[in-house]
Amino acid sequence: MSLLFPLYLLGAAAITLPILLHRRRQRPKERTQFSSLMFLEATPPRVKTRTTIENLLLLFLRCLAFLTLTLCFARPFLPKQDDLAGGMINERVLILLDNSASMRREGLQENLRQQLTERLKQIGDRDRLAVFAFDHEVRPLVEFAEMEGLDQKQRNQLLIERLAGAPSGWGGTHLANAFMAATDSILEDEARVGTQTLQGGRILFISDMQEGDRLDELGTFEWPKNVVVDLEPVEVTSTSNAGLMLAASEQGTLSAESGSTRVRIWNAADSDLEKFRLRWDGDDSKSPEIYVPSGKSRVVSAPERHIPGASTLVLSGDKHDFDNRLHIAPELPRQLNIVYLGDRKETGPSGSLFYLERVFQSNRYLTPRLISLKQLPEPVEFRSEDVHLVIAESPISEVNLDSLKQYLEDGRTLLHILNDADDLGGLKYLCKATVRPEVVSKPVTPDENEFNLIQELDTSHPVLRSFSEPRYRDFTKVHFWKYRPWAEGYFLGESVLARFDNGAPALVELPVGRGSVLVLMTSWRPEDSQLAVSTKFLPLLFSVLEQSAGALSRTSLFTTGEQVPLPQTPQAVAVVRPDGKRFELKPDQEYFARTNNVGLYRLETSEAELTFAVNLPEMESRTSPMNPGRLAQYGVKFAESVPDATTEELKKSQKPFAEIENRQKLWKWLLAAACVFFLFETWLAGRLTRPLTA
Amino acid sequence: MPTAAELIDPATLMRIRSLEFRARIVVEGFLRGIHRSPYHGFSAEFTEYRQYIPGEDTRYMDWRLYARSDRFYIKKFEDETNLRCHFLVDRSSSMAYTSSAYTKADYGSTLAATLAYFLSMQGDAFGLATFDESLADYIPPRNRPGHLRQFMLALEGAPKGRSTNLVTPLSHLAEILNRRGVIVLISDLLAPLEDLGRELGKLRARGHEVYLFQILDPLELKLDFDGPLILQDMETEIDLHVDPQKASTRYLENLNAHLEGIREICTANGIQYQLLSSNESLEFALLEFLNSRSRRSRSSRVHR
Repeated sequence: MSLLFPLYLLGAAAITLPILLHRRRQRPKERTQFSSLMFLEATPPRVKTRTTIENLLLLFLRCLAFLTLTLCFARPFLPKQDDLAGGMINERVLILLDNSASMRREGLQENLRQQLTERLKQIGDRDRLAVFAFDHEVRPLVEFAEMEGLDQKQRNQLLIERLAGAPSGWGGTHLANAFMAATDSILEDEARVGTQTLQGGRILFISDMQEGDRLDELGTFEWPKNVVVDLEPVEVTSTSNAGLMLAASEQGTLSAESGSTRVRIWNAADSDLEKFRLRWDGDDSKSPEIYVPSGKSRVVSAPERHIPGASTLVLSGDKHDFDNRLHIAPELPRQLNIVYLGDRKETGPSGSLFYLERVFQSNRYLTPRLISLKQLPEPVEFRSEDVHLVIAESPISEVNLDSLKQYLEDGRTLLHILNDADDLGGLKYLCKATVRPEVVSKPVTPDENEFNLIQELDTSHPVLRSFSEPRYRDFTKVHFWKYRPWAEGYFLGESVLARFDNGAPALVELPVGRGSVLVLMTSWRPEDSQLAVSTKFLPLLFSVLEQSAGALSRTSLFTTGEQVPLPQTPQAVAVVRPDGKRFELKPDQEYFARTNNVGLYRLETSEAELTFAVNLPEMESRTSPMNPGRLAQYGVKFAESVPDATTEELKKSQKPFAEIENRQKLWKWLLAAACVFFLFETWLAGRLTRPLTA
Repeated sequence: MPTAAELIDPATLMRIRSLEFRARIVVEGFLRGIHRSPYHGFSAEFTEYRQYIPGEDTRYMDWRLYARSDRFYIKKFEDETNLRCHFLVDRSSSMAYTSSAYTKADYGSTLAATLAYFLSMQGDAFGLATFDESLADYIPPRNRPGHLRQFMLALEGAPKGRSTNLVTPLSHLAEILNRRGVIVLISDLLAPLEDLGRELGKLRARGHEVYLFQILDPLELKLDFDGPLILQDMETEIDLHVDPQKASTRYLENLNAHLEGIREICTANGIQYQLLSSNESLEFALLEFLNSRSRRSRSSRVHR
């Protein structure tokens, strides 16, 4: 039998303790009643040692228990010859290198390489090794299989080459992702090589270990029992970091007008500096000082822009500038063309156009242009690139039907208001009908002083989704005095989106290619209904416009690693990164994920060029050191303390024995035996001190 | 004289719960032993001779006088109906001490019950007074049906008194006793002896016969404890660290001095004193009591 930690045998000297206690008389503790103390004088009892040892069995048990426990700590094992044969693997190590934006701080990269070099020296030729780099995503630099058969020199060479091609990125630190990927890789290698040879592994985690690391996903992750983490914090030469982001109330774009942009500046808890300045990129004029205490944040207004088109705010005054730039996409309202086709005589407030002009007003996102056309003998060309919505109130002339049909098949929408006159001819041409409709109904006017209300709404449809909440669904205040009855079932693919309270359809959708026709059975003229003067009119029309023209508002502020949703209308064509690299997009592509750089990205669409900004995640600026206890809370298991150079040789020589002992685990049996001895000793001591009864 | 093998072991006797039954066992066992011995008629006090009238019981015929005088004479005794015995029993906390299965109080109660039972067999009157710091219960001497039962009931139960005061109960008793009689004091006498002699002397001066039984536990007589311990006084509840090996010599000196003091008081006042260990057979106490009474009656006849 051999011992892994023979020095623990010195603890065997502790068996003198029960021997000494055995010989020592106990001071009395319990009182004994006596009839009278009148003849007695106080004599404090002298603790006298016994010259003879009594209860030898008890003493033997106590000594045996101590010795067993001491041997347990010394970790005995039975070495077998084949265990010590060459070819045995010592350890499996996966080095996890932090490549996030916070590692761009001054001196950190040099320190990381230095510390990595030192730690690589401690990994032997027979150890299995892999190296991963991570920020918001994990990138294997060298896998376990690649390192097989390489000696230390070859490994280092390969690692240097791979590291050279993986500089620090701009991503945030998704530590949970990194740990999960590392443990998966270790377990996969364990399964591939076999658990008989080596179980589990060690993750050598080299990072600045900032408090802004993402850990939440570890809460649902079950940490494997044979995998431990060895922390190697990168030495940070200086603290004092501050960062900035747009204030929560901001929309994410810069208004073209002279609006004030508000930003939040925060200062790290370990920062020594508290005074900062904020300016627009390219503007060297001196801006006022901003005071932010350590560990606090403050919302301030950005200085006035003296340079037109400036879109990057720069913070100065701290020691690390990797997170001191905030990119904001300039705001470009979208121009939308809406064509109104109508020949009606009503003008002013009694006509439909009057209300349309008041609905479609410009705002910071949209510049709608309403174009009123009369039905002329000459055809009008409706190009889907130029016209975003067509609203037709009069019967559609035949000369325009072909163009309209193509327009609709390109994915646009036609809002068709049925009038008094028969107007189903155009619809029959545009939409597919089952049979030639025979019935052409006349408009229905309820009895005098009576009206219809809209009762049923299909709020799952995008056009009516804005009315899905109960507080917006109340149409009881909107009276409809006149409507056109609709004979259901004559058009293929027809869907009724809204009905009056008498069950008659109020709004119907008919599909045409990729687009559709929305048929409104009534109008918003005051003689027909109160729709134009209700609160439902504006959201309804904008929903129709959005269905036809695509999203009316869009987010233009993202963080590195975040997926940017691409608009389907207008069609997204390509994305150009701040470094100039162009990425062509597929026609049905929904997201753009290569947001690894910070800065302004250009999104080329079929319609116009859009801009969006990508910045660092806010948490990446939280550079105060993380408490390792946070990792422990998520179930991460740690290795022992990092061995220093003086004990390293000893540990190396013990590695094979450590593996043998770890397999045999004789200490568990010794611990169980010690417990049995202690229990028996306790029982025996109790029996011996019990008073004799008569 | 009963042999040691015939004596009843007190530990065995105390297992009997009924005090009256215990007393009966001791007395009857004692009398059985006595019948085999030549002791007769010492339970009563002889007063005079009278001529024999034919037909009388010849049990008390004095045959020696006949041998000397050729005349038949009957001995006349001052019999039991004239004897009034008062048992003064200590019920203080110290009497509750024991190193075995029964306390000194149990032993003392059994002794009192035994003597009372004996007296009741003889038709003598007996009464009871219990005391601790002062006189507690008092039953006047009588010999009526049910009196013995009442006597036994008053003796049963654990002592509830606090400290021991010998002087006040004796003084009180002296005031309430207006006829001469016998006073049997049963106590451990673990109290200061000042004024005890004076009070006992008062009782003697009034013509009472006083018998003093001091009951101590074997452990009180020898202080034979194993190892150092903390002793708590049962009356004062004071704690004392005691190492018996060191303290026993001094303890025994003090105890013997105390016992010697009691003996001197008794001797000076003509009081019959007997020290009993609670593990001694009660027949001895009964025998000693009767012997003492017999010696007293003989001496009084001589002095007449």
